[in-house]
Amino acid sequence: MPSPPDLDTSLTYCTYCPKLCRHTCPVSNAEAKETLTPRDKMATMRLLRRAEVPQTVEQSEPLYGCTGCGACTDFCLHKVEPGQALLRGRAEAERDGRGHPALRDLAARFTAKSTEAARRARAGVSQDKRPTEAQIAFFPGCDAPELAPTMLSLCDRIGAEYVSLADGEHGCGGYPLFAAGQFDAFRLHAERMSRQLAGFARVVVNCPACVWAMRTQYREFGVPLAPAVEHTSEFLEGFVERLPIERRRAAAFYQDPCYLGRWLGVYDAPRRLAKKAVDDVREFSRARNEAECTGGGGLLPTTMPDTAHAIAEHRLTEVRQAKVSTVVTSCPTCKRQLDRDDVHAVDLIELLDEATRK
Amino acid sequence: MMPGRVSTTVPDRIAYARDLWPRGLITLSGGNPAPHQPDAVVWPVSTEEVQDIVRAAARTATPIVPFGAGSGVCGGTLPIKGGIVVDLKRMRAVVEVDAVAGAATVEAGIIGEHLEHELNRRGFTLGHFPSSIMCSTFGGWLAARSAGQFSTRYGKIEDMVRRVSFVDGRGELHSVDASGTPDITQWIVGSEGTLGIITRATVTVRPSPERQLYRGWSFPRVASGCEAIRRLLQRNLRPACVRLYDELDSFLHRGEKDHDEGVPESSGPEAMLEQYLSMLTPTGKSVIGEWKRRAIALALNRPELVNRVAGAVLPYAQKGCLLIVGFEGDKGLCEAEARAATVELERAGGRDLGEGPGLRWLKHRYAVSFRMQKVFDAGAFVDTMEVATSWDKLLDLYRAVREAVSPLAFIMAHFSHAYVDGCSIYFTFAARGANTADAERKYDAIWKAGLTAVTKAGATISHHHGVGLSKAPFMPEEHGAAMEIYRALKNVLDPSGIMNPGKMGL
Amino acid sequence: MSEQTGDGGQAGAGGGGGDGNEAPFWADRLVHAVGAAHVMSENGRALVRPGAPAELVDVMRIAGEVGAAVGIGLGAHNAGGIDVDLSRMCNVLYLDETSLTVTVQCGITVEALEHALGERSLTLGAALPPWSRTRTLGALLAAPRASEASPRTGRFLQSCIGVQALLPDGTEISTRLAPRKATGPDLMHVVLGGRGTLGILSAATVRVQRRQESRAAAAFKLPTLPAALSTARKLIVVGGRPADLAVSGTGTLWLEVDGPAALVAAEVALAERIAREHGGEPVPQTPPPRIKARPHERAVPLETVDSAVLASSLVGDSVRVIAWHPAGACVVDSARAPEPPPADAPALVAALKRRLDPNGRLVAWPGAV
Repeated sequence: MPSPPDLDTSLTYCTYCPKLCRHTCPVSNAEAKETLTPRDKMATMRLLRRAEVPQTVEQSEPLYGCTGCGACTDFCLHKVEPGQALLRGRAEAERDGRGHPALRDLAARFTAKSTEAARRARAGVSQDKRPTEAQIAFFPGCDAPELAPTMLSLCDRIGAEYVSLADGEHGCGGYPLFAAGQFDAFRLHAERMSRQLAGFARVVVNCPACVWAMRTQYREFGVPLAPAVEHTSEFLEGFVERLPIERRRAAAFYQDPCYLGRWLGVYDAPRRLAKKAVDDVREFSRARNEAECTGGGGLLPTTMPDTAHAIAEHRLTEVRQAKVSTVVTSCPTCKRQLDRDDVHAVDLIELLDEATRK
Repeated sequence: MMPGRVSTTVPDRIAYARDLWPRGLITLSGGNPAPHQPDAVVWPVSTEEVQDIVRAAARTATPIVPFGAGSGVCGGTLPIKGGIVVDLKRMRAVVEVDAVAGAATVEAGIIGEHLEHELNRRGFTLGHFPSSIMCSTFGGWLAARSAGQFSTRYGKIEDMVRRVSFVDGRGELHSVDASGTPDITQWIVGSEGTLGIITRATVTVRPSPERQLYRGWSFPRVASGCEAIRRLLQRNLRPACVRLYDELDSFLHRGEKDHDEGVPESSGPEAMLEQYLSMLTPTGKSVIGEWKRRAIALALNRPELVNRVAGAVLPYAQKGCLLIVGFEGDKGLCEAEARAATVELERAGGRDLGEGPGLRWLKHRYAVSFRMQKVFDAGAFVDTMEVATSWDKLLDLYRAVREAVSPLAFIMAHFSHAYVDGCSIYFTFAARGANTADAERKYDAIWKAGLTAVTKAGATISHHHGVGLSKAPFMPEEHGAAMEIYRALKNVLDPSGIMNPGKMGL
Repeated sequence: MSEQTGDGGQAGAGGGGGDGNEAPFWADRLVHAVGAAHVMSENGRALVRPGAPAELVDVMRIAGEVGAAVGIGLGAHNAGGIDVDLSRMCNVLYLDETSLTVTVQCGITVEALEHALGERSLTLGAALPPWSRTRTLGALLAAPRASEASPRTGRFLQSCIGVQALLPDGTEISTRLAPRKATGPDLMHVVLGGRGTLGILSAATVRVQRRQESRAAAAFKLPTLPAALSTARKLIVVGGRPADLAVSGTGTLWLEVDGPAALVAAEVALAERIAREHGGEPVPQTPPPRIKARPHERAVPLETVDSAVLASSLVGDSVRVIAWHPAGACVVDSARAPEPPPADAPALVAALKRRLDPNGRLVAWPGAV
């Protein structure tokens, strides 16, 4: 894939573009508002930088109407990345004191959530699964620490007893800080994680956004990370022919997480795994690189909670039309976004755990 | 009323202060992002809310500008008198697809690509593929008489309409049927928000094509290419698409690195913009040779000279005009039509270039719109003039517009949207001003010269972009005394004059 | 006399005029305008036959000055006013064989126009029913009937690409000719279908067709009427464009196709495939029996073709579904009397009428003015 143009060029391209990617943007589709089309968000950022509009909190708000899903980039002939550029815009807003009001105490909340997640993950796992160094360790992420014991017992069943918990003070890779444009805090956290994970050779991370942040952005911020980082689905794919399947679900849709799919290019591994545990894996009419976001990225649930909910509801339309009650995904954020009373969202780990239990 | 769906914030007012009128982009590049801001933006979710908004506005004589996705290129949605922008994109339901009767009832605010996607899921197509399909709405298409790239087969949007519902300038809801006497749908379609707000419509849809056959052909001259198209259509063939690029347009299509003869790198006028781009950014990736680059640099500054040279030399210097012809639909019909077309095009002097150019066009046909950006930022501008006339006047029209515009801008054309009785010509022109004011002056002068020539040639000033603000001054000449009918319609449907005021030459 | 609306009905209010058997006092002025041979006046009303647009303009001006109502195609019904008969305005003004359009004065009958076109191997193309052949072009365009449509050309008035007309105040308009436009509402659609109340059509430009390379006809017998209707509808929906298509009340489907030989064969094959899908069989093609007198007609949208046809209680030999086009068809019943003209103009038409013709000058919409 060609690399995106530099930031100034990207902003200019977008400013003069006829909003060609707007139909892919989950936020502007949900809000139906020109201000939130990728073109206008980028144009706003450019106008702010050129001081051609008021430098206010209100004027900066559109920069936060983005989940970072990358659907717009996939469609763009120039491969402009609003999902990345706007985070730079958020950083500039933070710097100038016009950041989003809902993110003001984010750093503190982040630390609390990250350490709580680590504590919960540890609590569910026996002492012998918590070494400080190992070949392969599992890092569940801050949205679903409860998956730690599930994953480790699944690993036991498929002959990967050697996988242990990536134990430590923090349970999050830091994507939320990055998405908030709080780059200094993100760098500090990356350094912390770099130390925390130094003893492992490979870390299997279940949050696609953090896989992406740890793989690509730590380096961008000059922070080395010793272990190789991979996503749960990439790791489990190695066992796909050896899964001791005991039971299968009848039908389920598969939801491509944006960071796993568009940003990391992993489409087939989770599907191959899901097909082992589900008779009929349904595809959304927009799937793989065209998959629609579920609204959970980019801190949208914090900055625009109603919009985030509306995006997820839209994504569920096809599931409900098809009268299917399960969506399999491989992202704790997508799971949280899509889980309803009538539609059950299941993480790939849970699905495989259930399918392989005697 | 409508909690959370009314806004008066600065960012929203700025975002709704522009559309894609290239003159606005010139202004924008001059550092003035939002000269025409609305006082408020509202997002109704139902017809009743639309009625409430219009009634309230009528009581207070507040202007209303109906808004789809703002992709118009004529300033039609600019709130030049302030007031309320009514954004319809939250009214976006595909209400019903009647598979048996081939009809879909759809709310106005749905984005075109979303509509086509929903129809495709059900095994149907609207057959309407404007290059703005990603960034325009169904309601916008109806309001401005949009044409898709396959209009030759499926018709323009006004040809597909079976029923239209709209709220007039008094807040009254009407639902009119195309089989009515008179056909009131045709009063509303094309009214660009001056008579009311279209809220939903029922249109003809077709089963998704079983087969698509696209080929490229080469013709020695524009005239012989046009003649071939005319003969195809008058022999009862209905290609989905026919596009004939004139000598210069074909020439610029042809990158040196292209192996297929006469194959467009991309489609339509974007080819020229591609050349522009590579010239304006010497470091940019470019497929053009240095001499071509120099020719285009010259073109920007001395358009007349280059147009004349190009007109005189090109027909001899290179390999003629490229024609793309595509058929689609039922497998048997499509294949039979393609066979018959081959016979006809060979008889008309065409040379078959094979499937390559056709498929390439099909693949890249939306690429045009990605090419504009840098042109504007560099102080230059580009715009398109889509006019139409009957076959007997077509080449006269082509020459008249070229002659009128050549002294002012670099101009090229392709012929698309062909019908049994005539065809449209899509001119692309580009020029550069010394500064913003100069660019605006030049821009206005080009349009005036071009459209005056069009009217004089007996053709229509717009085939599918509409009128809006930019062509409003030319409406009296276009319609003559019949403007009285338009004014009467306005008076009946919008007695307080609040609907999109200042547009369409009313 | 020439009929423009063809619907007769009662006249609206007349303007000034004399009483008893006298010619109206303004008859002389009409004689001056169009010549004595073309004015008949009695009982306070007049019948005039203008021979040119300028004469029509004069008639309209005189009517305005004396306050007489003008009716077109009303026959004897326009009491106290002026009946205009356009039968002398029947010239072909311009035949554009390149664009395949003809500009012709609206007093010409379909028969005469087809005759003129036939000399150049041209035809109107739309498969018009035989009972429309004596109508004038003006009548077809101003008071269209459901039966005047075909799969290829749609409703006949969709063949019209431009008009010359007089508005009620005498203003002459001439719409710009182009295959398609995007310059606001299509203003000619105020006069087309306006039944002469919003303006008088003096000339129109309509599309014509050249005789095609080959032509074929086919017929299929379907097991039931609904199966035949579904076959016809499916053919239309998938994009078949026969020149003519009809379904009989007993379930026979006829079609005619023309064009290049390859296309003609493919169109017939497509029809056969769809007919077989519905349980049909090809049968020897004999032209459907000609309906001589004007039958009862009813427009039905494609959505409800089956229910609309089956709802007509006496489905049998007298019923036929013709004039199929992309949005609908027409049910004709030769056993029933022609339907009466519509009683009222739609509210929007009436409102526009008040605006364009505040004095009620044009009176052709029966019962509406």
